[in-house]
Order: sequence, then structure tokens, then C-alpha cells
Amino acid sequence: MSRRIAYNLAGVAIALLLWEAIGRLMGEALFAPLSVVLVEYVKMLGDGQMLGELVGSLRQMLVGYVLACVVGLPIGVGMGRSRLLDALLHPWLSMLVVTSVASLVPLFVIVFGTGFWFRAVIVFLAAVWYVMLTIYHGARGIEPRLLDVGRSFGAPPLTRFHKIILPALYPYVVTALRIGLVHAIRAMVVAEMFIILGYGGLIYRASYSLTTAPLLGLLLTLMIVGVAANAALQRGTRVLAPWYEDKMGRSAPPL
Amino acid sequence: MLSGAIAMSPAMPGRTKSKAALVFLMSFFEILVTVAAGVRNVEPGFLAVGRSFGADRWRLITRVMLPASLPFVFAGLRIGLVRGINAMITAELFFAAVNLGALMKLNAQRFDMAGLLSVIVLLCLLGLIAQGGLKAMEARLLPWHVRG
Repeated sequence: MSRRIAYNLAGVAIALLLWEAIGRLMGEALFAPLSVVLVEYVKMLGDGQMLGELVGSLRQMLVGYVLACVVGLPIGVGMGRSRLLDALLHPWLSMLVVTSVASLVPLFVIVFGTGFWFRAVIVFLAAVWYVMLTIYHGARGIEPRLLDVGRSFGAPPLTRFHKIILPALYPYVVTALRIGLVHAIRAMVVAEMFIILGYGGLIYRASYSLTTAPLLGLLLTLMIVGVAANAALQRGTRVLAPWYEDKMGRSAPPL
Repeated sequence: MLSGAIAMSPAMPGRTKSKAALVFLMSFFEILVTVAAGVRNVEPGFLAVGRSFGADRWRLITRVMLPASLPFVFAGLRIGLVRGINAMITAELFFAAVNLGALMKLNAQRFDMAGLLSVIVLLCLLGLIAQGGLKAMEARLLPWHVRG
């Protein structure tokens, strides 16, 4: 275990050294080296604009993300368990899941303007299909034997649902939430870069600066947010359902 | 990822280069993660059979591991392709208004909703066709792996 951690650290160190080397080679205007970015980063943290915009953007993203989960999870489960719903909705799901959110941005700017709802809707549309698809695969893949056992013990449908189907879905719910979150964060940045507001706007404006240090600093924060959110969701699973630990680590997100 | 490419765009002045870089960045990691999961999920029994028949490391990799993880390779290619198309349109909308991205921007500026929606539908179809093509290829090349 400790060996693994040592290798992880070595990997990080090699990447950071490479960053420094490439940065030195290309110069600050093209790709700022790590040392320059760190100095700039501390300055940006102190200045407060970066974190302020981040909190504001994340709040709007959260609304879209929560909506996506609230809508996506039940529909996905319904599609996974009912052939009728599956036949009705699946063509739309597979079509919308391949649609790029970025392509919807110009349309939604016209429909919603650039306010709160524009960003929430874009985030919602980016995340909801992935949440739905992931939970759909989970619901479809439930062992029929488990349900048969329930049936032979005379459990009514409602009991079967919350005693068998829901626990079996649990790991997929967490996976769906994680995949959805990644897409939600991406969509937030894409939407905001288009209208040049919030955190995405900050990134966009930073790309016009003479040095790339602030830009790379902003990206660093975004990465930290993504990794932290993912880790928090994973930790939540470990606390709520420790028995799924193994399964979660091994299974790939289905598409 | 998108923002990553914005960071790269000053480093790559050519329009095509920075767009290709974005497509690369967006699909590379998806493919990497999916294929890694596939290799990790190779049935240990298969490897054990190979080993007991005296296969060396090279043969284990090429004859057992590779075919066993091919379904994941295809899944990775499909996810990567869809991501790549997304990246393409993102790049065309944001840092080099050409092709479909430019058309969308133009239609949006004219409030031409029909034009805007047609480009979106076209992109939907492109994604579907790309996915369908890879799925058909998978069915032909990996007949043992039938998707439910």
C-alpha cells in the first residue's frame, strides 16, 4: 500500500517537473512554468476574485445538477425496469446523449438570455442524460434471481422495489451522480465562457492576458474542485454503504 | 478539458492545430480510462488457463488479454468519438469560428431559430451515425460479444 502511495507521489512529481521544464522551454507567454504559476496562484487566492466567482458559479451549477439528478434518476430506473418506457424513450435518450452541449449554448442564449436559468438549464441538459443512462444500465442489469426470490416469498411489488431493486441500484446511483457531476462542471464552464460571466468568463478573459500564469491557475482550481467533489462523493458512499466499496472501484461507467 | 485547450491555443497558433488538440484532450482520457478498466476486468480464469498451457508473458498479453478487453476498447472508441465530435463543435464555436460553429453563430445572430436547430439536429445525427457505425463494426469484428 505504502509502495503504491510512493509511486503515486513519484508520478505527480514527474508531471510537475515536466510542466516546469516545458514551461521554461516555451516561455511564460505560451505556457507558464509551475514556479511562476504558483506565485501567481497565491496572489489570486489573496485577491479573492477567483474564489468569489467560483462560489457563485458553483451555486448555479448545483441547481442544474440537483435538478438533473432528481429528474434523471427516476426516469432512468423506470426505463430500466419497464419495457414500454424503454421503447418509448430510448431513441431520444441515445440521440440526446450524443448531442454536444456546446452546440445548444447559442440556442439557449436566445431563449433564456444570460441569467441564472440559462446556466442552470445548460448544466441540467449536460448532466441529465448521463445520469439517466448510467442508472438505466444499473436497473436493467439487476439479477433476475434476486427478484425471483422476493416473488417466491410473496413480497408485493412495492416491497420488492425498496428491498431489492433500490439496494441493488445503490452503486449505480453513486456512479451516476459522479458522472453527472463531471459533466455539470464542464457544462458550467462552457456556458459561462460563451457569455463571458462567472468563472468561465474569468477563464475566457484570462486567455487574453500576456502571460498564461493566471489562466493555468484558474484551471488548477477547477481541477481541484472536480477532484475534491469526486472524492467527497466517493467518501459518502464509503460511509453510507461500505459493502459496495469493491464493486465501485472495479466497474467501469457504462455507456 | 475545454479550458485546457484555451490554455493551449496561444501555444498553437494554427486553427486546425488547436482544434485537433482539444479533440485529442477530450477523447484521449475517456479512451484511456475505459481501456484500463477493460484490461483490469479480464477474467482471471482466462489468464490462468493461458498460464497453465505454458504461455509466456507476451502471448498472455497478445492472445488473452487483448482479445478479452476488445469490447472495452470498442466502448472506449465510441465514447471517445462522441466526445471528439463535442470537442470539435466546441472548438468551432469558441476559438475559431469556422465550419458548423460559424454557421451556428451566424444563425444565432440573425435569430434564425430554424437554421440554428437544423445545425443541432445535424450534429445529433452525426453523433448517432458515428455511434451506429462503430457498433456495426463491433458486431462484425467481435461476434462473440453480443450486446444486450
